[in-house]
Amino acid sequence: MSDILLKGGLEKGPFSKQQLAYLDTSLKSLNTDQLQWLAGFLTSFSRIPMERVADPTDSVWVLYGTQTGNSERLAKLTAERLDGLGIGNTLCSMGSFNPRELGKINRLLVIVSTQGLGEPPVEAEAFHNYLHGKRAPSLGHMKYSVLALGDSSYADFCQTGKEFDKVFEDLGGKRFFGRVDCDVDFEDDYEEWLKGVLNEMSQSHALSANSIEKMVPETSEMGFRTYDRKTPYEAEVLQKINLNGRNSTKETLHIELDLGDSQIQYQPGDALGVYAHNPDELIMEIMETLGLTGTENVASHTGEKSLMEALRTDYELTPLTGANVIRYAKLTKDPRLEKIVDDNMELLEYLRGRDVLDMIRETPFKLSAETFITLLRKNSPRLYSIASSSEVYENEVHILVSTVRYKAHGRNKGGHCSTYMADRIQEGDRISVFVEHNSRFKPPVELDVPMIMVGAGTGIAPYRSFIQQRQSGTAQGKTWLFFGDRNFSTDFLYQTEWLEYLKKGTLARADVAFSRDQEKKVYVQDRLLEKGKEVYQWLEEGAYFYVCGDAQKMAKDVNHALRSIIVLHGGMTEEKAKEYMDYLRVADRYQTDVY
Amino acid sequence: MRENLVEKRSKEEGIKDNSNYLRGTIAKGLGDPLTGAIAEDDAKLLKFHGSYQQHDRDLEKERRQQKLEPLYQFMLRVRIAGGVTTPEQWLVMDELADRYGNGTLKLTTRQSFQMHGILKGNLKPTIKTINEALMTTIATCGDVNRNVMCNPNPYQSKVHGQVYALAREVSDYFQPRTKAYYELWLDHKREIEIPDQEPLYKKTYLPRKFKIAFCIPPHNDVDIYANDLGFVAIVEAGRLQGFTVIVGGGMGMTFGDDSTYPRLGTPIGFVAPDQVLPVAEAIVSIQRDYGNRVNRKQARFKYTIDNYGIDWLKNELSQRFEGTLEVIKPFRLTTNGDQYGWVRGIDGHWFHTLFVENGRIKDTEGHFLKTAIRKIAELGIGDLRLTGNQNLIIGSVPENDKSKIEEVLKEYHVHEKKRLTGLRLGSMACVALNTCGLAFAESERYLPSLLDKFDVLLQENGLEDRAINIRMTGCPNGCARSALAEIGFIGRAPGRYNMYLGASHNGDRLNRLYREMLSEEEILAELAQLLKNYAKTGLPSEHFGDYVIRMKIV
Repeated sequence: MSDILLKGGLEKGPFSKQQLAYLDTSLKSLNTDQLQWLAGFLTSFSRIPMERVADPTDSVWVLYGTQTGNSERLAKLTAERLDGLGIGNTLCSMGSFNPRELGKINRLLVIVSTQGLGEPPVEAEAFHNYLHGKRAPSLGHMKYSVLALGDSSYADFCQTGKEFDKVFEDLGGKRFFGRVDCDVDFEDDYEEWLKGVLNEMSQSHALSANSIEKMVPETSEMGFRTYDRKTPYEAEVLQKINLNGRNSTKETLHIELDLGDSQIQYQPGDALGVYAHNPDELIMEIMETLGLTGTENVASHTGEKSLMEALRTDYELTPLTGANVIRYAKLTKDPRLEKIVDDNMELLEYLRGRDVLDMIRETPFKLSAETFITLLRKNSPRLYSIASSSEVYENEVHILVSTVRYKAHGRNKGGHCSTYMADRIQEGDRISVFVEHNSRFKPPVELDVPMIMVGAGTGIAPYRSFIQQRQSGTAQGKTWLFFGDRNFSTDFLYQTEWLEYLKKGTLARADVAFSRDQEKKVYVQDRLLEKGKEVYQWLEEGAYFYVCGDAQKMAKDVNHALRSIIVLHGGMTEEKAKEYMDYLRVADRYQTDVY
Repeated sequence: MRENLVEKRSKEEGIKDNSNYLRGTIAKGLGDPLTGAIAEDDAKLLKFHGSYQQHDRDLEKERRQQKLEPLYQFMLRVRIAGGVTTPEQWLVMDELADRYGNGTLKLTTRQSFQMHGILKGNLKPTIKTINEALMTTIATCGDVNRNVMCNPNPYQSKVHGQVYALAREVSDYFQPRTKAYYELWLDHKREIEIPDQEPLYKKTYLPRKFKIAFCIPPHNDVDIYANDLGFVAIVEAGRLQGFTVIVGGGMGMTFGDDSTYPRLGTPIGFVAPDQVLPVAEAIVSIQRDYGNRVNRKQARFKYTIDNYGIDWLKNELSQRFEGTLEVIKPFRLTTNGDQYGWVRGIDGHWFHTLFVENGRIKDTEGHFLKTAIRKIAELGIGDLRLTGNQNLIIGSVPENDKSKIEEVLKEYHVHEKKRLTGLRLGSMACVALNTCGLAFAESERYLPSLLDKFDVLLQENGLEDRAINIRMTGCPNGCARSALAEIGFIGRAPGRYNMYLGASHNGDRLNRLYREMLSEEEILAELAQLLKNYAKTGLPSEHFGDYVIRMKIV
């Protein structure tokens, strides 16, 4: 059995990271006969009632609603911690959760993120609606706690978490630990929430606070050093190319990084986290505005250092977040800012196009270095879908970064991380990275299953890794790429590679939509609809359907197109088509990685 | 032996043979949205439709790194028999250049328009629009008879009218008859039940391109000796008597292949005007049957003649041509350059020849040539004639309208450049980089700056007004007929040129290799010495080309 098949398959299972590592290592060493024997043994063994499966009402349910995979990761981590403390638990995504189970659940932990303008993740929508609908049950028997994930640069920060928190209360549930709202730098807030939750639980499980503390710090289980969000790897930039041809309206960087002997592993569909540095020119302008020199000593969240150093690596200066403004308003007591932070819509309007420098310039206030950094959001990594397969590029990882640039409030601005990579990083430099595993966006484990891959712009990145993996494998399922961008001549990302894969047959078909090449704009969903009959045929043949790219519009339009295709070519009612798509989702055959 | 030849024939012959009269899979290639190119074999067939697949060579390396295919684009050549367009046609070309091309028009050395930078998806609407304006692109490239040239001589306006009409007739007559062109570009429905027929060309067309020109002495701006078939008008007492027939001219050669060479046409006889078409058909059919279809480098008519001999040709011709080939009538040619400014034709209309540097119609800072010609075309006066030297004649302007033309030329600063030297006025350059796939070195983009440096040398020697023709090509295929230049440059490698000297001023003597692989610095050093000597020891009114021969410099 190929290692990739094994690992890919296990990752889809209900296993914690630790269990995964054990299973992966142990099963890898077995030959086919041994595996078959084990399979038979386990089938009969699993029918024997297990010790742990006691009364289901005793189990702590960890329910998560995730879009980018953060909530899922934290939920898995939480389950592991509960395991470690011997607390029986059930891990479940909101997408596959049956609401009728609610009656049996006495203790519930909810981890959920907020998308776009205060919306729940796609997989959480149905559950969210159910709780707010007429058929919502009474939850008088339930104790719960909510961890809300969000991004404070949006006005409706953690809105979905807040709504779950409130609806459980409205339905009679008892909050046993208060909701914690996490920003993109969620690690510390998560630890705080978990500690609180575990403390509350320990009272009924007779656990000492001591054992909780002991469990909390994650230590490396393997013999070698592991790299993660907290301890990123300093990877050398091998190559940086703008893939957009001359006169393109876009700038999309293909970046190849050397993983050296870090032993960092990743799978197709995983993301790479990157920590950016702030530009010195911006820091200098802020220093000037504040009348500081930069040499002041401050206690950053990573330790004592000069203000200059702290601002370069430890905090974010763009975009301006709601939290920044709220803290600054409180500090300055400026009437205008106080009024703004009181009104969500006004705040949203204020945040648009502004950064920290805009705020302190428009509302000057004497700040010490120490006070200034308390206003800021900790530097958080940006995640990029990995665009390479380690089976083709050993010890390398490639990402695709769309550079964001705009002018607002009289200054040229850009994305925190994308301009860092575009403007301040050269080949040969090192950048801080880590792999963020994403079990929710994976090519089919069986290499002979067909795939339909739909992506716009940088959404094409994971498909490069999917196809590279297939290319290196032996079995061949047919593959179909749908790609969209603005202009054919300049924006067909990885064009020569796709043409080569088509020639070799690794890619069976490709359709492209370039929105700005003709008067009437054309998008990937239009191409899907045009080829609807064949798309449906592929689905009937068991194809996996992938969507990657813009969440706001593209993913929704593609979802809509897919439903129309199923209605039209499957001869189904809207209702039936929805069921068909739900089935695809549950069977992991409709996967999305949208942002 | 014939069957043997079929087996050994070149790849291109097979492509034509299997193309179903030039269709190939062009339609499929045009519809493929994943690439800006069409299939390699189709690209060869596309030439017959008037287009070369090219790519921006400046961006080639960069785009390869960017994982983008080359920036494929298409050159489109528009056939204008005798080079005469109406103002309406000019306006169509002007607009198409902006909408689908690179914003400029190139006037070619064979009185055609070229547009560059057309993307695959825009090819069809461009060709369609051109046809709607009663022009065509068919057979402007490929192994067929190309655009037929005709001296746009404004003095002999009556004779010109007759010769021009003949040129058009010949041009139309030798167009391919396949319906493929009309199906592909003009949405004609495919009629399978009516099979295609090529009574003259048959399925494999000609072995190589074929060029025909008409010339009205004493002007030779069509370079009559550079054509596969040339007709020189013999005019007596203002009346057209007929034509001296010249065969086997051609410019192209390949570096390092001694069996290839430029060749001047050979006069073989005289025919009456009504015998032009029959004799041309007989000659084209001889080349069709005897031209080399195994080695394309030996496929031009000039090699067929040299291979079989001129007597054989005459004999073969006597069997195919029912008329009589009379004794050659002499003629005199003075120059293969253009005469600039206003002249009045004998019909009383005015003709203004405008110098267009390297035939490029474009707007540049302070010199709004493209806008100016558009404004003139918008006046709807007379016609616009392309010369064989990449220049433009604003023709058939009634006396009363002359001032209107002058006003436009003034308003857009067409004349307000510094005074041009005789050398620059006699200059030509092919397109070369960045679009031509054959170029080894720059030509059109480079020659103007080189001439700036030559101008200084001319001034130092008081030679500013001497008419000297100078031509540059980026490769030895000879689009700008550099083998017929008094000073010729042929690109060998980026920044390196072979220098040729000693062609006659009227286009009846080829030049000879003078120096190889020169850098700009070396070119300037050589020319400085040559011009200095020419100024000192040249005879009054002795052309530079004749001077270097007399002095045995080459």
